[in-house]
Amino acid sequence: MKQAAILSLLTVLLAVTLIPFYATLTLSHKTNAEILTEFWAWPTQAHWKDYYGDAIRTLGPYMRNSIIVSCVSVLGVLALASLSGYVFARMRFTGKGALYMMLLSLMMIPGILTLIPAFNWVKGFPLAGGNDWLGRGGSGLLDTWWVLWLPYWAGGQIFGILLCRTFFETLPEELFEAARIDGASDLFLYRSIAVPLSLPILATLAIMNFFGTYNDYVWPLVTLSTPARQVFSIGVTKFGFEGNLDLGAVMAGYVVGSIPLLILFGVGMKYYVQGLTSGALKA
Amino acid sequence: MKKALLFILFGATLVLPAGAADVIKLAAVHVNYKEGIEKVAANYMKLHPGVRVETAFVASDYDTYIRTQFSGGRQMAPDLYNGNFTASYGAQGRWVPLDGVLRQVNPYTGKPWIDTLDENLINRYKLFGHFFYIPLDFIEIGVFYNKDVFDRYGLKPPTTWAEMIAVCRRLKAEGITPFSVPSDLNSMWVQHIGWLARLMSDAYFRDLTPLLASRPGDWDYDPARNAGWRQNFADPYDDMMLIVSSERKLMAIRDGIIRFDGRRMRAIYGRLKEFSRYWQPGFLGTKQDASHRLFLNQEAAMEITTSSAVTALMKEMRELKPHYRFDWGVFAIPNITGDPLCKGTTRGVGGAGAMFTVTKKDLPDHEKRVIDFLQYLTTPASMQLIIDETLRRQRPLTGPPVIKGVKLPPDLEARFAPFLGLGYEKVPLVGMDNDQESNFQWAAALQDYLGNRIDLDTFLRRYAALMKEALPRSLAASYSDMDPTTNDVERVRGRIKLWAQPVLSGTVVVAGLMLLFMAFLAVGYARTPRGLPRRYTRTAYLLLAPTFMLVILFLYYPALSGLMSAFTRWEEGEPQVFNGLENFRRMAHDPYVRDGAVNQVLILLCNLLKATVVPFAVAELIVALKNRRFQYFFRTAYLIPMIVPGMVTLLIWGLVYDPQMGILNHLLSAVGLGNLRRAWLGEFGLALPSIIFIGFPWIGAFGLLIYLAGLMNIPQSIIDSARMDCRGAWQRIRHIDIPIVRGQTRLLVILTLIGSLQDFQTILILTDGGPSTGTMVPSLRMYHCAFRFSHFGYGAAIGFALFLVILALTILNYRYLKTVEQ
Repeated sequence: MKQAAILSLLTVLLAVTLIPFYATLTLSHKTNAEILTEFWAWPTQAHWKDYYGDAIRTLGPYMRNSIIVSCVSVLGVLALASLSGYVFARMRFTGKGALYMMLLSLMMIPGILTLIPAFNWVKGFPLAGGNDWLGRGGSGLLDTWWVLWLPYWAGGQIFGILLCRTFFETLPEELFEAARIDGASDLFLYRSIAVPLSLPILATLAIMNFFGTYNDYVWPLVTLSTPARQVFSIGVTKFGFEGNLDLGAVMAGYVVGSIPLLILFGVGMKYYVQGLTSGALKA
Repeated sequence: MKKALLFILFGATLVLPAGAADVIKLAAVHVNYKEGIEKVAANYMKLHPGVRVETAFVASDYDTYIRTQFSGGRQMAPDLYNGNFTASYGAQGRWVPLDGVLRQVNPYTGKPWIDTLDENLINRYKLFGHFFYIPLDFIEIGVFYNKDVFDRYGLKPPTTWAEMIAVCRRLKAEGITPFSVPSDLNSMWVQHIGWLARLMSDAYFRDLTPLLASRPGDWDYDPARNAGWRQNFADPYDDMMLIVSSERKLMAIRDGIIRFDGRRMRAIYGRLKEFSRYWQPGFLGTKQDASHRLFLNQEAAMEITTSSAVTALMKEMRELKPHYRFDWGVFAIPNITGDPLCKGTTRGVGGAGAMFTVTKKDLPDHEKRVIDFLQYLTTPASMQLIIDETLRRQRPLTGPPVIKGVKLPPDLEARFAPFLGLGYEKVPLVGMDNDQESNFQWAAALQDYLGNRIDLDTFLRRYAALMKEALPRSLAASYSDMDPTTNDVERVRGRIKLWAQPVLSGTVVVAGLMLLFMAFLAVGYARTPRGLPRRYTRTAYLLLAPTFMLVILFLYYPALSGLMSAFTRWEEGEPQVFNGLENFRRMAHDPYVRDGAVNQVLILLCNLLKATVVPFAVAELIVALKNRRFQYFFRTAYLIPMIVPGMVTLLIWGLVYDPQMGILNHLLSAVGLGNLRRAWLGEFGLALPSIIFIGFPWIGAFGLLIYLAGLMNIPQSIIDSARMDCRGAWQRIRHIDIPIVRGQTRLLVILTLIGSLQDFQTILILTDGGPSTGTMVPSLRMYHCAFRFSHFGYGAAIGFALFLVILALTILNYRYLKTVEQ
């Protein structure tokens, strides 16, 4: 009885939460006129050939680029965030609080203030892209993958450290204490205890980071110029502009573009659950 | 034909020096022309194998894109772009004046370039005596009307303002909404109502034009144009070539010859108020798409919108199901008659849709090449190709092309006709031309007035006061000395250093930061307290090295340099000048920051609840499920909304809140609460709660995932003991679950703090802070100041203050939780 109540409550909430998703799918088969007159109705005809065909044809290369960028970003962020998160959660050292705040405070600076200085810095990055050591003469890191990877690692890890530290701190100290007495090094504790027990949080971090970099618009817009290197979030805007677009075609583009994300959710959830049922803590 | 081709080839080679491969960068916002312009570029490259044309079409954040590229220096900056997005670049000498070359022969047509362009329109964009803009097409406002409805009641398109009001009255009596007018803050500020007010002010103030014209002795006086000029109110183009002195206009404002609280303004805004009674209910919250939806669904008989709606509407009529279709037409905003104060007719306020400027890079050969390409781009043949390609792909046009000799399909030509031949406004009086801030404040005041929060007298008082404040800003932006005999811009131009390199190379700054950081670590290491083995610190620093290397390399320098600009006067495109705490002093008296802060507190508190309570509750429900499969299903399913594009969310909530067609109001009527129907986003006190409510039921995927991870990881021993001690689920949740996820809650609180205080995207898109200041927040004010008003320094100061507030709140949060834990 109680289970049934919970189940129906969750189902109702899920249905409400999924309304926007339903709308996205149906909108992707509608003309502007249909959207303006019959927003909620089922589409009168499918637009597989024109909207979806177009989207798949033109967005393929962009999506490939985005997947490369996001995968590399996620791997780097996972490594950096879990290691540093472990250090902040489990080790004692001088300057811990100050160093932590120095990282955290970076999240508090509005992004629009740092865009132009960041752009000029990657352009003037020393000894890259034909630059001399003072950053003059060339195009620096612009228009290379590094211009995305390096800042994504640098920026993405901060959120990750915050997340990992929070989670590592909740792990029972006895687990670590026992291993320490056996003479295990910190790297061993990190690798053999902290990481395996934190798969849910690492999966969460991977999903959030992948999602964030996959949807990032302004940074790739200003730093990449070669069309062949451009990413999905930019490519999908080529379907229209301002109020005068075929919204259905744009939606089809977004639906196609979200397939990698859906796959990621599935894979991510597998690891998430594995971590939860690993049983080390349940004993 | 062959001869012409030869001429083209030969003519072009004559004009241009033979050189190495030259790259022309074109960046445009007009994605509808993408394929057409690309084709023209390809043709040009065939003609000139040594030239490469690189095109970029940037559909959104175009201005950010342009500014960033310009900040990267000469090589990065696009050669051809839509200069009107960074209007202040003109005065700073960043564009090539095209005065001379306009009269010369365009090698691709064999005729003077100007002959195939719209001279009147080019004249409209004359800046300090020079021509910079080359327009391709035209955009103008008009009234779209439903012919079927008009026929049903025997109505005709009105020819005077009074007739228009009569038509409105009749329709309203029949129970039909006469007009649908986009009137949210953004539409007032930079679009429809702004244009309407300009148009009315042009009509009412037109007889003052002779006072503002340049006189003998003025630097820009041209006897060929101004001497012997006679005003002729019947000819909408009579003053097209007349040179009006921008400084004389400013002087007239200073000296009270033009009064913003005078009789003419009173007449204009009284009239506007009367007109607004016939607009759709809750118009202050209606964006353009919602307004168009009313017209298309025949909920409103007329719509004020631009010529860009023509191709869109034609396409929609083809796509609509038959029973939705209707016949439609367009008329221009009719003349105001019978008012002795209003001497002029209502003229066009439109302008160029797509227009290009040539970037000055101080490379004469290269600039010549770019101009040559622009000449090729603006030949009738090229423009025809662009238009044909655009129409073939069923892309929209903003309006008719203005390149002479370009043919449109006859039906389209007829549809565009009512937008043409209306003349151009000469002396529009809405805010200051070069000061967006005054335009914004005017729009906010107008929303208060049309929304019945203030009366006409108060509105006019506020208008006069804000223009008085704007005058010195306007003078500064145009480098004016209030002496019409001197050309101030020329004087200033040499002073501004374009393409300035930063004083300190980034390499040096970052190396310095690195050293400082090492010193900090060394001091900390040396002062390690006793009882803490030094090797702990050593290992920790070693393990943290990659993190801090990356952070110092990529984050600290941009962050510091962004924050430092808070202490400078930094107008767009100009070098920064240190001005101490001036920006912060200004902030202390900024009413928008003050009002915004109040709104922000409310938003923050609600967001904290939304981010913690809801995901926690759902996580508890999922954990309480006994069936593993269901658990797995719900965990994954609740993630799916993450992939919904932001645009869809906004569309949906726009439809929920719409006063006329919205679900919320329909629901209220259905359950007999019709008297609670509201314009949810259009009423001052309601807009903020409505914005906060968006996203219901607020099940954030991230919060859900980390709460679930916390709850499912509760060791079995604790669960067992809980079974003994606690009675019922509530007790367990209170005494075990909530304390055990405290870390997660703290994390979410901090992230929500940071996110809420920085985020302005939703508000920017939905209401732009309106109605009036109803949904203004400090971060939106920062964005407006930095990117809409071009006061980067002041915007950075607001950003700096936000940073300090977030930092303080975060530290407080840590302290507080620590004491709780102890």
